[in-house]
Amino acid sequence: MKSRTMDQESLSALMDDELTLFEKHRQLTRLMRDHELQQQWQRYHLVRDELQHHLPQQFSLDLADSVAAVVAEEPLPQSEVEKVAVTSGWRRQLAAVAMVASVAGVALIALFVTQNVERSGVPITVASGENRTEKAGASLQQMRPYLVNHTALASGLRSQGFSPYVTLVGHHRQ
Amino acid sequence: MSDADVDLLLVRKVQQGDKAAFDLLVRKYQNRVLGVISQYIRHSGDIHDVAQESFISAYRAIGNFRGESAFYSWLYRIAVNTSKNWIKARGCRPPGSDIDVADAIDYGMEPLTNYDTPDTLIHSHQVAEVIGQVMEEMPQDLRLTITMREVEGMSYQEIAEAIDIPVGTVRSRIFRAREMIDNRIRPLMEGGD
Repeated sequence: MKSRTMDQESLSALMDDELTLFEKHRQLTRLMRDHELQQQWQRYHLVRDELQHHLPQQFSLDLADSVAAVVAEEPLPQSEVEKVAVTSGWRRQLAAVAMVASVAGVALIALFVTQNVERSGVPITVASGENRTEKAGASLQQMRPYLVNHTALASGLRSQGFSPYVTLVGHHRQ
Repeated sequence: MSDADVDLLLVRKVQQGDKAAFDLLVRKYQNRVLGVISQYIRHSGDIHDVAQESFISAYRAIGNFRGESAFYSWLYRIAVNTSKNWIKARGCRPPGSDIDVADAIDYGMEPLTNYDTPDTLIHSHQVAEVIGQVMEEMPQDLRLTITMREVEGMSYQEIAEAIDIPVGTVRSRIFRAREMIDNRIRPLMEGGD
């Protein structure tokens, strides 16, 4: 009985915002679970509204109950930010998948092109060390007929007053 | 006098999914909201419907309430907008035309929603009569304290300093005064009209 009176006195102090934050939380939790205290909360506010001249000419006693019945069927409240986050969630996932797919696609294309180039015989890597010397020798063999033809053509052109645009460079194997 | 902290605590609880906290806000502000709506709409059944719609709109939008203004100011705007929308939806002439808005509502058009009309209506003069009577019968120290609190809006500390009593005594007197009034109001509320 004494505890009940203390609850009611705390409720009265809560209405006046005269409790510590801890007491407010505790009293509100108690209030939300106790139907009788809720009725008292309503009546205390009714008296306050009358003393402060906020009462309408007529008022209904079952408004809170009818609102509570509708609210019980409502989904939990969400902020606009949360709504946007929920509705755009699938878009963000789709964008992430698209990005991953794009990167994978580029990688595949690059791999495909590289393999084709290597198959066509055009070197794509720089030879080093002994390999470089051997390859240079092979290239010289391939170029020799071209150089011979070019030299012959250049001498012909020089006699007609044209300068050859390629300077011949000698190649000496060590 | 401000109890905005309590409102904000309740709002945060609602935002965290506690519907019982919203019920406390409704019980706290229902009379004021009815008062606001009654400035636009005359029929008590319609006022009840629009008040219900206002509170449901508030519940749906409460996720966006950040506490930048007082909860009641926010709720007040919702009640005003709901009242105006209700008037428009019923095809009534807008304010400023040759028929007064309140008269336009009296034309008896179909209601916007199918919410039940209130089963129990109380006239404020009944409440005012009872409260006035109890205040007269109340010991003077209680009457003075509750008046300083509810009418003058003074804090417990201010009351304590003004009449030179401990803050604990102020708290106790205010509670006893409220209890005296509540004991007489309760039968009226439980019985209805």
